[in-house]
Amino acid sequence: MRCEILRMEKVTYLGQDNPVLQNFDLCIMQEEIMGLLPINHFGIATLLKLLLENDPIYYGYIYFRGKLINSWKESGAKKRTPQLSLISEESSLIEGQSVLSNIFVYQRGFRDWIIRNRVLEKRLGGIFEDLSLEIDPRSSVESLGSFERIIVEIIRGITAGHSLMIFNELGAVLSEEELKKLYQIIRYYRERGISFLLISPHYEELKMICDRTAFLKDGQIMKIAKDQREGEGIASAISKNYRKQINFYLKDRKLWDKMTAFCVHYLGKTERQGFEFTIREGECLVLQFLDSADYRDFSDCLTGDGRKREAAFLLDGRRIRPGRDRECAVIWEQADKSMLFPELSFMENLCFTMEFALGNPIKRKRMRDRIRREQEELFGKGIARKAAGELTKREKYALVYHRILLQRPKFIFCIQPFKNAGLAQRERIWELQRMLLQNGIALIIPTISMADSLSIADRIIRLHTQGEAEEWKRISFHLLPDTVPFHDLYS
Amino acid sequence: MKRRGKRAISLKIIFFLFIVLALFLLVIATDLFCSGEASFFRFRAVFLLFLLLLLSLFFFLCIYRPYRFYEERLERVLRGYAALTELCAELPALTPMNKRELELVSEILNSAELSEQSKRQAQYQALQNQINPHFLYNTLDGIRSEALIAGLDKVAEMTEALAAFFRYTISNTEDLVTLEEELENCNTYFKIQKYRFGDRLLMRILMDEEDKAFLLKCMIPKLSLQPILENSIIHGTELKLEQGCTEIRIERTDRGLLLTVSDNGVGMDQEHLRKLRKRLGDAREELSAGITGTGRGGIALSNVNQRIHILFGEEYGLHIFSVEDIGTDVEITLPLIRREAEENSEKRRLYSGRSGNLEM
Repeated sequence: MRCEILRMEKVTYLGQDNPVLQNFDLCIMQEEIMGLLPINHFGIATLLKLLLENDPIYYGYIYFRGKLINSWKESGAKKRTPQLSLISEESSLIEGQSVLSNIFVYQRGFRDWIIRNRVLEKRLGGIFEDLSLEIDPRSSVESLGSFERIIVEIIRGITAGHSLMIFNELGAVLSEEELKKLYQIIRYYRERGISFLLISPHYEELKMICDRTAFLKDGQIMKIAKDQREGEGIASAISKNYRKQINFYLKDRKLWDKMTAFCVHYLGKTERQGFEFTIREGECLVLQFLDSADYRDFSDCLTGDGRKREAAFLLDGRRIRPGRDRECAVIWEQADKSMLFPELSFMENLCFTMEFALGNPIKRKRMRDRIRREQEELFGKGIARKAAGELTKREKYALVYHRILLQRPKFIFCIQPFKNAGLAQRERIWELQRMLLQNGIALIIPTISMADSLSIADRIIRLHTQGEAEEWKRISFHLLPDTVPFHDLYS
Repeated sequence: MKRRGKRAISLKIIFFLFIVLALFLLVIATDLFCSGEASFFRFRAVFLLFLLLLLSLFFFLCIYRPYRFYEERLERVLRGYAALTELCAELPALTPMNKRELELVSEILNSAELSEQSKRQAQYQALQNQINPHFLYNTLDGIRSEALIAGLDKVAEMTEALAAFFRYTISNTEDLVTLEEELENCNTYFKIQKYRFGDRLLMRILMDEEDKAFLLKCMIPKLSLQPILENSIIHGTELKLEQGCTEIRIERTDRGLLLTVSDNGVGMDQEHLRKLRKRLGDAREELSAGITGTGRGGIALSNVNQRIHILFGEEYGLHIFSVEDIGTDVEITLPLIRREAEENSEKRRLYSGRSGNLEM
């Protein structure tokens, strides 16, 4: 007999009078690793909030460990919150405190009058030993890497007696190796009766470990795949059109040797981290970091947080500042949120990096009118005057990429472009990236997780922890691990 | 249905207004007839403040909150999430007339449902009498014998399966049957369909071997699996060009029994799925289907869901999951009832019935 940990039955949750979750059914058993694949991200944030805070629901029932904890019939009062942990990209640990304090002291159930560090350390040492981990219990949580931070959060949840752990899109934070280690730890705790809910937009990530996978769309569970074969079938059925487009693109894709090549040199924080690569006009290169710390340093250098460090970029031997110099643009993660000024209009957002072209007052009006006409032809009349905040996600992404196109850079660093994006958005981002490549702009995608990068990549450089760089050309993509999304397109 | 212990909100409002008016008169009276001592006015102010607080509390608890409750519940009924029959008993009345009105609606709904049920039972009985099951079984047996004599083994097998299917569907009038019996009927139904579709159809019944003996003795509503299997074949696998497979998965959880009928048929698009789920979750649809006996497609699912709701309550029932070109899953959640428990309760019922007769 199996025990139910969480059962959500016909749950309807309203947000601003409209259903965000509707007839939502989900059941997670004890010792089960359940996957949740959001086809679009509608409803996922609400679901997590509902699970954590147990807000009153409009209709339905929620059971946790067999007990009814939320029901529409008693929607007026707040109920007991379920004992579960949510682990996501952002840390939930208390900053300025040690690992030990975070795990034991800042717990709801901790009632000791005297904190006996030695006893607690011994206890934690035992846990770390079981998991074959080496984390200093006295170290401050800020000094932890992503992987260590996640482990500390898991142990904190386990010691608090939580029976369900929810992981929200950790594939974008952890490297392949770290994910494998995490999965080992998940299996270890599964055997001890803990259940897990893993959320990821990529089935390839989920199939590695999940017993079942639920597919969520528009706030409803469409189907629950009971095995890998069924899951793969559903995953390819929902991305049928996208895959068709990619297939066409890959068949026609040709790169010319005559294209101008640039030599980019990354001077890392340490000598080990530094590397050099060449890239041609219109080429897409994926830089996959197999160590999340190296990736963090690299992205810090791009954002400018690494100014104090020695890390820098050289283009053909001369120092460049990505994002500040016109020839080297940067598209940040979740560009629809991070790269737009919501109160400015579409045109203002589009043209503010075009000073080089619009500087001449005589040319300015004519050129602006031309751009406006072009954009209105693409997106419909009246778009130019709309505030960026009023645009749809699809239009926001288009605005960012068109702005970069008008800037005419030689190459672009596109940081984890597919992160936290639903299927439709990923498809849109892929189309826009293709547009940039067709215009002769080189695209460099620094990433931890490959996500959809294989659908557009011409070359991949996998950067190992030891500073080794391993180059993969398209011809050998089929030799990549089959857990990489879209691997099947090359086999 | 009597609505005991619930005063109409309007009466509470009248009481509230009466108190406010009395308070107002008290203030005027004290102003007119009492000497203007400061300590007296201080005392009066504190007293009035206290009364005001009490009144506010009374207003919040006895007027505002029941009114909000009334509105929220009614909104859910209007949106089709909750059934009117169930809520009529719970709703606080606005006025005494409204109270009587709610009682009347409750009675009408219950009597409509009851009369419909008895009507359907009578129709069913009449049909059963017309058919004369024994005549039907004997005829089918006769056909089977003739087929065997003529060497038509397949026809004989088909006739035998058909007779078994009718015997289970028509003769057995109990509400609950064992899972074993229901699965047997599913197998019979599948056997009949197999003659039509040949190797294009496959069916698998999956359950934990260790639990098998226990599970097979569990009680489930009669004809709760077969209509879903029928749906899965007709709307799922039959429309598929390749071989279609239907799986019946049976699991036991700490909360109850979980039956899942999955097929790898044509599935349905999201819009269709949304509508079907709405129909299953919509109390109004359920009510109308129950009263009129009609619906727009998916009748089998609605019917099974409705019967489960009537027998075990709202928290059990059907869930549907589907993806176009991939297949459909219908999940049935039921409480865990074992045959022995059912027999014991039957014995208790008979015993209490007998003792009741003795008393008479």
